[in-house]
Amino acid sequence: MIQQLKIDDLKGLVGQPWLTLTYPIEACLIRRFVEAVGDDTPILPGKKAEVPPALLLTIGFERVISMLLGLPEAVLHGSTELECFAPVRIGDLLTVTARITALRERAPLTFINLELEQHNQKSVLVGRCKQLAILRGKA
Amino acid sequence: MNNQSDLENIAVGDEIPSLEKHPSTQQLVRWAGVSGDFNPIHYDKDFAIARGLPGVVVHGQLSTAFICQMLSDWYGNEGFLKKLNVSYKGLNFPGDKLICHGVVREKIEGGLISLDVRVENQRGEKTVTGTATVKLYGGD
Repeated sequence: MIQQLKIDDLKGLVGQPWLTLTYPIEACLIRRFVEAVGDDTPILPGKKAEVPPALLLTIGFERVISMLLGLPEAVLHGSTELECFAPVRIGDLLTVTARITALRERAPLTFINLELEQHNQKSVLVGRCKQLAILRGKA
Repeated sequence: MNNQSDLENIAVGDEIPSLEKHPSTQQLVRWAGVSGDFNPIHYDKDFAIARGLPGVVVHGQLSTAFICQMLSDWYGNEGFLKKLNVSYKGLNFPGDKLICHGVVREKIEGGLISLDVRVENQRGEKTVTGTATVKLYGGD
């Protein structure tokens, strides 16, 4: 059950851990991912058997965007920053912590900075993804 | 990209091989399925128009994944992506011809290469721009 939010609810979450989620990295996920990108020559399974770095864009993001889509405002995407610190491999179990790092209102827009950190089953930070979501309400 | 000599031959201003993509509505559905981004502006034309958009639009993150594909096609198994930072400057639409570009911006000690990256549509409009940092193993 997805919790429905209002922007005022989000203001109280700034700076705090918002969501903590776990994701098993399975071969079928990677296959679906490269098919979705249309990557006919993924380096997977390369000699290092690492998953495509762009996968980290999606890990955890689905829950965050689902929450934001519960708001009445239109949701647009402003920017993305991805940092990769360690390889992710099939069989890993990633734990994602999402937080809202800033929220600014400039009617009719609201700018929400999100940060998702991804740790593997050894508690190693493997990735950090920062997103700028732009909510557009009625002027 | 396959060895130290390749790294040494990289120069600031070099363009890496571009990547051409033709996103379709089917691809947007596939991306929604794998990314979990079911924002209706990516699959419901009426909804998108009601929100002031010309029609359904390509997910920004899919365009970013295209840039990642271009980069990984270039460095292959001889490196990895350390950082990517992009801004979404314009909208991409199903049926567009999108070309991803990358230009070497700086060579940094330790095998790090910084690149300017962008996505251009068939009208030459830069819809996604940013920078990437790639680590090449031959630089250790």
